Amino acid sequence: MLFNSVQFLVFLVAVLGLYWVLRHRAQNLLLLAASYAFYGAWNWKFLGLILLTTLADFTAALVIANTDRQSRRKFALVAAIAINLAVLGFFKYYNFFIEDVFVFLKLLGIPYTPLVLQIVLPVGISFYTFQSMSYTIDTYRGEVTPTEKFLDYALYVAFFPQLIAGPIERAGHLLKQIQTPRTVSIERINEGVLLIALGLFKKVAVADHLAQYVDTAFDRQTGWKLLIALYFFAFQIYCDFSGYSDIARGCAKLFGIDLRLNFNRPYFARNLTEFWRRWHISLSTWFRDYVYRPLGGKHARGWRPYRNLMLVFLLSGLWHGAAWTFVIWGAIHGVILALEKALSGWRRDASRHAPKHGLNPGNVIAVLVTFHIVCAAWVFFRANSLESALGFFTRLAAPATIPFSGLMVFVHAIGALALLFLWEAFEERWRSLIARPAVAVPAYAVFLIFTLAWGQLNGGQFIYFQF
Amino acid sequence: MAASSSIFSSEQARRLPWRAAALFALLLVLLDQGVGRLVERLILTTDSNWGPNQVARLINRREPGIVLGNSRAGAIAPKVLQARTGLAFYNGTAPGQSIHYQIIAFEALLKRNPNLRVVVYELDHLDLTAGNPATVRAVEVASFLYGSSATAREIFHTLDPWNRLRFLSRTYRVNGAIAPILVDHLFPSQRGRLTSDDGFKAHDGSMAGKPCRPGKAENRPLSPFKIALLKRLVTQAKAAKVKLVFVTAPWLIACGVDRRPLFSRFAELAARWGVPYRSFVTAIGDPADFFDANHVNRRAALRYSEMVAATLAETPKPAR
Repeated sequence: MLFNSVQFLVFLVAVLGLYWVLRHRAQNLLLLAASYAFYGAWNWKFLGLILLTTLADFTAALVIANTDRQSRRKFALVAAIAINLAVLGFFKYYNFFIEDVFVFLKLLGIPYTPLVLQIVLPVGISFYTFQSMSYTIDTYRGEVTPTEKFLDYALYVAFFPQLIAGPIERAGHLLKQIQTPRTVSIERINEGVLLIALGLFKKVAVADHLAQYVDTAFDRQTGWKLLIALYFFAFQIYCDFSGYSDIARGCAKLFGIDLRLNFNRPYFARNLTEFWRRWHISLSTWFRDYVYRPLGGKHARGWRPYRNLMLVFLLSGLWHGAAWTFVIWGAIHGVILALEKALSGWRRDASRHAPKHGLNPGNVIAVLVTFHIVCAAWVFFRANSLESALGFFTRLAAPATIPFSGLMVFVHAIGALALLFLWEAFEERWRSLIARPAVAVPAYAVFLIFTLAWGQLNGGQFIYFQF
Repeated sequence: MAASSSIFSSEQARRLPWRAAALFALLLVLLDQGVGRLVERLILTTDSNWGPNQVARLINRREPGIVLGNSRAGAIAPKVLQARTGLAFYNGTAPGQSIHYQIIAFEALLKRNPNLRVVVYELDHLDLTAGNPATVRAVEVASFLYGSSATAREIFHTLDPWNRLRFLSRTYRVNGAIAPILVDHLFPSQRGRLTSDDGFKAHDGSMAGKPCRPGKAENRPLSPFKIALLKRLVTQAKAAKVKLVFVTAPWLIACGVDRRPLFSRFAELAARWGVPYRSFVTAIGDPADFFDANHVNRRAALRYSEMVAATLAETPKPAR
């Protein structure tokens, strides 16, 4: 059941209609049932995995909170993390690992027949596993008081708007809201509808139109026509993923729940540090809080801050997919960030020393340079293999001799991209304009109808479902 | 049960901004119907070769001869047919389009084109077999005819029952048409470049010397729903006294799947319905005449067109 489908619209309206006539406990029960139904509509067999993850972290957190013995606390933490990583590792990384072991043993001349399994990757597994794990770790650190209500915790793991592709939530934020009664407010509903309309626009009017050109040009075109495909892919993946996050946040708001901001106009970033504060914020802060800082972060001695940074980005690459291309994508970001840190200094307060935002030549150049670095890394992110990625750069240097297959895709894509730019560049102004319901109601209606008329309505699923 | 312990909370429901929600819903419906209706009208004023506008272009034609079919029939040159029959022809084929699309377009043509006398229909063996999923999306370019065509409604509801809900939205039915309408009116010189696929179309290039191997022979069952639509097309053509001729396009069997058993079934159906039918599946067999396994190239397109024209000349003239 995709967010951009009529089935989801019916589902959402039905759940919402019932939700707001129920009391708090019944609302939670309804949301949990709806979340399992939502996930089950994709593949009900994998509901067992969500339940396993939920049970493991729920139990571990209670054990951690109810014992003073450090060894028992540690055991519960390690056991829960091991179960989470084992589930994730088997479904996502088993074949990758087995095939690489095979290549390594072959190099050593050791005969070995790998047992490659036909494993279906459960949708959203990387997202809900990380979310559930953070709860146990936060409980161990004493940052979260675990709930004794299994239903609440199960809903925290499976809350359907963000179950498949985030934002990756934290217990201190989402679970707290699940435990307390929600209230209706016109501002929240206003914001919810805006986010849903914006997310749908990004997905169907921008990303899915761009995809039509990207899918045909990426492995075929040359020269500047290939460069356009790369630019288009950069916006395709941004609009696809941030569109999902917007719809997720918008739907949650209609239930009276706030989800974390996941994207903040990332292509306006003036360096990679800023980019990662704006792109997939819930994942980058997850790695910051549970990997980078425990390793010592920027306060570690000597070269270790660089090691920590590289490790985080290599893991981030692997999180996205079990392939060397993702590892290289992570490595590129890690290396450039390390260079940035080496040049600008680790301990400077970035927000205090950063140049002022605004339209000036320095900022424009910085934004363009950052955008092109990010684009270069996207080549590895999108490529099916290392050879394909390297071949992309070879074709980029060749003259653009292959004709376009038609102009329609450009008309659609560029029209929608121009509107997106107008929104993002002047977002504060638009928001102040639509703050009044008298303006917001007709504005959203027009925006939704435009999306319906202009969008690519059969574009298919979101890119980040595969992660 | 006392109200305070009930799982229902009328208090919460009362606080919902129902009035704003109702106004929003009303505005959405009004806008949706208004925009949809406006675009439906505008589509019919366009002449570009993209999606819904391509259907509009077809049903606005007034030639007495029309070629229908998909990409393989795109190689039939109207001028060759005209030279042999003396009737003006228009190639209204659309790549990847199924019988679903063809019958909707044909019915609209019957209503709108009083000159229509001959239709050459390319029977597509890929299309008419059961379980061909590619056709579901392709037919949606004709969805702006949903409101005016009972057949369109029947087809869309059969393809996906959720379409009953989707097509309540009039804007949904004209999805994708606004951009080509804008191009058509603002940049008329670009209208033919919106897509590379348009009417008579045969690519250069050759399969000569290219490695290929035949696939396993296949005899898939025909789709009963699609065959029923095809029969409806025959009935309507007869009722309107429009001469209908079935053809099947050349196919490089040496490089593709051999579906010859299917063609004998097409012949049986055509004979039963009293429609002239010629299969050109094996009429051209030289790899040098194909640009891929199932499309003749520009060089062979004229020969194929000559064969179709000869078939038209052989078959009885239309009654009116």
